[in-house]
Amino acid sequence: MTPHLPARTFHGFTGECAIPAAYLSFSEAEKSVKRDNRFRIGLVIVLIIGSFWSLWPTVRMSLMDPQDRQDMQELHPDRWRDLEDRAIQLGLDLRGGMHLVMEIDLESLPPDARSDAQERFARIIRNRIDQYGIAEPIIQTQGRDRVIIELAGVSNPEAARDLVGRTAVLTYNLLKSEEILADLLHRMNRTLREGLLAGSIDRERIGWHVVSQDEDLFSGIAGLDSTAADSTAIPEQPLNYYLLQDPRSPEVVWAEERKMAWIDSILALPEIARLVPEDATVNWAMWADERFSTTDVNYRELYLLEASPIVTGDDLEDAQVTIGAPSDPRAAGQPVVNFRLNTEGGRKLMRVTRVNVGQRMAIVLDSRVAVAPVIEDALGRDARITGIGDMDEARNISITLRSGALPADARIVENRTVGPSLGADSVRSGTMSTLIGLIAVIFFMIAYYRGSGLIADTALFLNILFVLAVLAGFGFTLTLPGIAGILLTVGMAVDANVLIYDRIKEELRSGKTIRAAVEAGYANATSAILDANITTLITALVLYQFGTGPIRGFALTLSIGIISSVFTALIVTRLMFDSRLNRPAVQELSI
Amino acid sequence: MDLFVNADYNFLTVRRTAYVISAVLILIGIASLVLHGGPNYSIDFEGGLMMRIAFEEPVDIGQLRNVTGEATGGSPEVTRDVDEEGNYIIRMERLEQAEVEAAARQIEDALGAAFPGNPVRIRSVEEVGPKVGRELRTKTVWAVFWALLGILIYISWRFEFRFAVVSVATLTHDVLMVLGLFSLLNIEISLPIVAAVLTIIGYSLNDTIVVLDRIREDLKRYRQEKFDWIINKAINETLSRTVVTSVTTFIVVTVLWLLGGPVIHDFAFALMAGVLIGTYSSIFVASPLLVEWNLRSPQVRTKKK
Repeated sequence: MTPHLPARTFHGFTGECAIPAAYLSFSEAEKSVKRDNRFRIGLVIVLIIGSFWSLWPTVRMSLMDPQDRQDMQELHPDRWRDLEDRAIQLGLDLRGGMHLVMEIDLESLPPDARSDAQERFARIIRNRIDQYGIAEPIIQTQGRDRVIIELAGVSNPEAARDLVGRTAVLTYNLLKSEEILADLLHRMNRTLREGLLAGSIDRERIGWHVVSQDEDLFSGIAGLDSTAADSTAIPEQPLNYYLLQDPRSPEVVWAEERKMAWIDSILALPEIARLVPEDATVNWAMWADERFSTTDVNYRELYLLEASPIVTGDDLEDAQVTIGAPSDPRAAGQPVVNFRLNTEGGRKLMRVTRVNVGQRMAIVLDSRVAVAPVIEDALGRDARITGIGDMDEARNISITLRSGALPADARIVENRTVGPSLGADSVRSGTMSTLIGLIAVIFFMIAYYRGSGLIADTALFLNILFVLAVLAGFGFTLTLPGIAGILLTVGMAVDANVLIYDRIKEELRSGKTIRAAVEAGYANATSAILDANITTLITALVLYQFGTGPIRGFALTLSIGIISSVFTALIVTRLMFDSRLNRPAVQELSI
Repeated sequence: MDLFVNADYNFLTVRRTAYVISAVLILIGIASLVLHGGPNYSIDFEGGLMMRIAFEEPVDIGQLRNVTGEATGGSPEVTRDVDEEGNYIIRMERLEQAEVEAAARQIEDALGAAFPGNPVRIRSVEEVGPKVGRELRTKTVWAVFWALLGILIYISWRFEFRFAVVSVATLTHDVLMVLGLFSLLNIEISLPIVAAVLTIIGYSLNDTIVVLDRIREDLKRYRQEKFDWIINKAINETLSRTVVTSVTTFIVVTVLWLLGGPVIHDFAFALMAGVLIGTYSSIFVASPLLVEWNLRSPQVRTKKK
């Protein structure tokens, strides 16, 4: 491994510290310096511009006032998400949130159910988190029996216990008939309209101010009164602002995912909840429906189900994905999910499906509908689901079925939760100490090295800029120890410059000209700078490998800082010295 | 400004004093470790619960201890947090898995009931199961091992094996001192502290290498001089750099310690101690050890190319 540096400043490695041959023929050296420098100046400028570009979303986001921010979140959630993705990500210790490690008790499962236990468990968790409406959860498997869950903005320990404490419930429920659905929607529309007119409904809570301003593509189909675009007027059918319905198949109702929380609020209103028949429940689909969704907007189906299930996960014995045989008229070459019930379950399913051919039947996990196919024939113990889009979807459905049938016990083996106020405190104190530390070092450097101290300070600024830009550009996470790493970089980054300056001073004292002293200073300090920083980098990398969460953030900023400080010391400050020395008649060096 | 211009201190004559100081400090640290029955591991390595809570009004810490003790049936350690009045840390170590899962809720419920009219906020909760704690301990030992091995290999390759051994010996010296100091001050060894220790390893090494680099250079420049003269000269030549870098680094970690908030308070403190110890050791331990070694078995001056 040979560190890649231009040969001109690279002498330490051979151990020779005699004046580099380059300035024996001075004019030639100068020429090569100039040619060489053009490339370097270009590189530095590109990096600086790139850094500003990479940091722009972060700056924009932090300068936004709260009102604009809220507007953007509600009216343009996709643009907001995009901005958030490109800004520096804050770790859970800074934004508040929950880091959970769950361990599945594999021993409690039959051997053939162990291999996908993690996946089934993750499915249950993902499904429940979706019901809490938590944005951007991270769910990862680790080893063979652990699942890591990271939830930003959640700090209620009860929520965690709820996530894992309940056993997953899987049920098969018939859909309510088209007529009952139509009647329900009709009465809901009326009640909602009355409530909005009377002012008894909290418009903010149900997002009325947002949906009433939306331009809806489907409004024409749904017969929406076009004059009602004015937010003060209440249309005849206010639900049309939320729900979409195809007139050709009115039993299918769906909605944009961002409106789900508002629709849930509407459904929770006592006067609306009263309208839902007692033997029915309203349930969302478990995932977005690809038939309706576009790349920007996801839509989910909403179902009105019979409240009492036909069979439950207890009756389910197994589910598998296969590919339909070529001779199969319905599923040739298509993915198929086969499932098998126990005898009792098979009998129950047969009894119900025999008289409901042509109806839809939903498979529900923890009150979310995984799939709701049409019953084509009477179903018995062994049945199958066809007409599935692709293999992934089939796998998802089969995992869902199995997770209801073979629930695994899990325990929280690690929980690190930071409340939002402590996170905010940490952001404040971290930023504050970085600024003060930075200012202190800047002044110290100027006091000690005068003019050259300014050069080192410029390098310091660039270091911080580069570290932040790399964090933003590569989507790394900034944690509180990460901030400490940046600050430590500030303290240590000057080291490279200190090494060089001390060397230059020494060379000046030994009677060299300024130009020769600078040249020799850089040349002789290079090996120390590289060796010292590479070893620090080794420990930082080990730390990154070993650490989790916050500590990783520390190792990360430290590593980036080390690399960037070597770069700024050897390239950037060198350029600044060169540009000074290239001026005619340089008599003095302020160092 | 110039400090230590043409410094010519004789560091090697005081090396025996330095050995005594180091030995005494390390022995005190080890004695403290033994008396405390090993390092004071945090819940990260023992398993347990740590909660940061904030009361509107400060409460009696003894009462808080009793309330949380009764609620959990254990003996929680309750201390004041470093930032504001009314902020406390509750720790319970060596809990069983079931206890870990239950304790936070028991405490939360009990606090609301025991201090009516004084609302309490949970600032953070950390629960670590005993199994995870054990795993983290193993992982940490390996991390330190790999870091040291990596350094040993790199320095042997870039310098000489002798330099590498001296560097690692110096690092061990530094780590022992920091651990001893923490034991004396009763600061817990947590994951962030381990990160700090690894950083200290990096930092101290940084210092040591600068001196070693100079020794390497001077060994070639002054071929006629005596080994210990060269080493002393190298230390003097790099003295101003050592001091300046230590000062700037010490400034920032002190700021972090003072203003960084409760979460990284101990972490910053470990770094402060590390900067001081690392600077000391690179001058008074690392290079003198090279001299000692050379006195016992003089080495070939420069490697043949």
